[in-house]
Amino acid sequence: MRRTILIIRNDIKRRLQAPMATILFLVIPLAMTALIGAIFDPGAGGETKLPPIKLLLVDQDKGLASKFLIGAFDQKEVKDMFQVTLVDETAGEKLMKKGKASAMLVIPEHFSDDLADQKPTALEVVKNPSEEFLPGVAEEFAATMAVGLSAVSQVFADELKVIKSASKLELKDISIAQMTPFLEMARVKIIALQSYLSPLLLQLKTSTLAKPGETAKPQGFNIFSYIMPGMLIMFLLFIVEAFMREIQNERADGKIRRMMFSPLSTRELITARLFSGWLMGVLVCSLAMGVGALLFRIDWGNIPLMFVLVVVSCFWCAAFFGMLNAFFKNKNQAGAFASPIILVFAAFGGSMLPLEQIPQGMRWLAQFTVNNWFIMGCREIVEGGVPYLSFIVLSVSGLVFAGVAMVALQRRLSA
Amino acid sequence: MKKIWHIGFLDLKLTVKDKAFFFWMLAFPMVFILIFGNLFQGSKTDTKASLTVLNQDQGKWGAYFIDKLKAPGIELTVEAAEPKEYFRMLVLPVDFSAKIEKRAAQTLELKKNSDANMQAGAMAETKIAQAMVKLIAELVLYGNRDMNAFFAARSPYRDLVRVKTRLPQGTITKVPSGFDHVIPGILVQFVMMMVLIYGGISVMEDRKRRVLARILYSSASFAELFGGKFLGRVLMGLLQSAILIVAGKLFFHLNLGNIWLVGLNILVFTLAMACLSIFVGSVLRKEELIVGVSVLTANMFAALGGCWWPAEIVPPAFRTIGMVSPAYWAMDVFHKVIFFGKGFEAVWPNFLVLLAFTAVFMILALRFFKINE
Repeated sequence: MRRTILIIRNDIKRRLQAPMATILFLVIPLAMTALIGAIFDPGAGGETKLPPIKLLLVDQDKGLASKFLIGAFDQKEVKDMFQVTLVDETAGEKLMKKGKASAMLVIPEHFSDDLADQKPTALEVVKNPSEEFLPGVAEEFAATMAVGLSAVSQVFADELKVIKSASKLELKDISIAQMTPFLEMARVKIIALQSYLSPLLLQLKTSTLAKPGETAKPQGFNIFSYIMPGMLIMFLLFIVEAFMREIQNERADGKIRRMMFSPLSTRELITARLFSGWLMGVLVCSLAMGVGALLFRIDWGNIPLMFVLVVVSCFWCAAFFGMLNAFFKNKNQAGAFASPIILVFAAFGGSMLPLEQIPQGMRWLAQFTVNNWFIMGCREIVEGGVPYLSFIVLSVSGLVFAGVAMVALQRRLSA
Repeated sequence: MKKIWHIGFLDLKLTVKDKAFFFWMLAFPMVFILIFGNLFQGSKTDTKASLTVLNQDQGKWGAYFIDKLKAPGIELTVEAAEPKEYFRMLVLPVDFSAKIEKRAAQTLELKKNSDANMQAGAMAETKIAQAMVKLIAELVLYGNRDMNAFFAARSPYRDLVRVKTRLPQGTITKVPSGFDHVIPGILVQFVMMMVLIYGGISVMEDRKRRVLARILYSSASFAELFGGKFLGRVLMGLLQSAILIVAGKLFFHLNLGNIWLVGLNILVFTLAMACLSIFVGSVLRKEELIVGVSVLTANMFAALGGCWWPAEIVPPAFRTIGMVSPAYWAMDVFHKVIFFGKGFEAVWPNFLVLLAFTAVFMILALRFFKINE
């Protein structure tokens, strides 16, 4: 036991004496969290907002309907969503060719007349081919406006016809007496409309459901607490892997053979190595989480529970890489395969992008990664739960890996 | 020149012989392409914005409203009882018809699964809003007449205004796929990662093992040695790009536009990365450090340069900051060539910027390139 503790102490001391690599792998998740968080920080509202959509508007109609449509962009919510520039078609086409806007909405000639005559017509949306999202939003907005305009033009069909003919007359040719029946008809319709629109006959309320056992996003959601666990576990794997690879380095330079001349047993040496990797992971992870709490104001929830999760996850990492190093023939092989394994874990386990964004067909792979269980565990603790499943999966599989590592490494080191 | 070629080609050969070569150069980028290429298209069952409608209504209006929801891009499923699994579910309550007939206001509930695709969700919500507007319009048009006679009368509502979409004239004619957007970004990121990691580590190891010093004992000059190392890293980047382009063409029908301009873009970008990798390998002495610095640099450049997510969703301030990343300029060329069909006259300023990056990295690499520890 004393010899094991001595080796652990020595291992940790050696790492701390040359800490640059460890510090770097500690800085990377913090830097990545800061960058991604800053870009997608939802701010006070709690909901990530898209930047204003640059929309070019070409009005070839210049009639009542196009004015109504253009006026819709002055509504507060729409104004926040779109950055509208009125242009003529030639200038608009040039700007679209340069990719200077997300979309261009063209209101065709005779648009108002066609609506007044109840003739089918079409709005044209020119989409920026280099953009994936925003042109689609502009298209759907135009489609919703199209439904609204269809409805309004049909409800006020008679009135629109009158307005159309009146617009072609001189003011002196229009008499109030002639207009009165239409104004009265419009008044009746507006009153009827009120019963449907005030309050709105149909409204929509949305709610996001979590999976059984999970809770929905809490108020005051901190995006950094959402990103950091994924980044942290990815680079924690790198740190622990580098630590466990020392077994290969020491085998290669004959250090282990020399150590075996002492009264030290292989069992003690392997136990010490696994414990040092584990301890190093816990140290680094706790430190990173502390910095995360200070820098990004992340509330990690129940601290003792979070610490247990860190301990279990780091044990898993040390046991897993201990086992892998038992099967790798030399340090080159370990170097060649360890990083790809970590990156595959990160890609499928939710470190590189949220699990819910991974295509459904690939999502099942996540349950085979430590990243998934660590991220899920963190989320559950932050949301006030206890991640029993993460604890069980990580500790049971960690113990199995540690057992295999003990047996296989003993064979490898005695060979 | 022959010696430069020999040194460079040998570096490339050693890279190809590496055990993890296949993984780094092909398998891992392909995983990225698959994940990110499908990312915004939704899963197999969520591709067309699937919407489950729980119709608890006891009258006719529920079914009528569901009919209004049918639209291109929406995959509708109607259920009488709440299903165990769904992406998003619209609940039509028991008194849906009764309230409509009374012309009483009501709020419908849309339950969304937290795992559901966000874009498909936004599409479904828009279609629901459109169906609601249509139904209200029909009711307004119908006026104060007897509601029981509504279904006997033909619905007077028509879609008078439609929406046509097209791409700007003189650009591409086919709507780009998700892979057309994703593959250039992944190509740029992996060229950075591979050249920086492999190139940096091999410079460091060659110095440590005195391979560089031994080469200088031959008839090769310092300039030839440096040139060879530089060429080796350029070849690595070009090989990585070629593999991804061929895989993209074969498996994802990648459209690259003018292949010569794209090739020139990759070459100019790789020149900058080759110099940076020599600089990294010269100033750092440990493999772990080189990997760490390379991963950090490549990821930061990739994120700022628009390789990870569509640039249009990034706040304008970050788009401006992104200009410090060589990846930004290379991605901009890809966009101009692939999506707008632009020629050399539109992209030469980008090449100049990338060459300026190359010059700066080259000066640093030459200043710090060491033969011995």
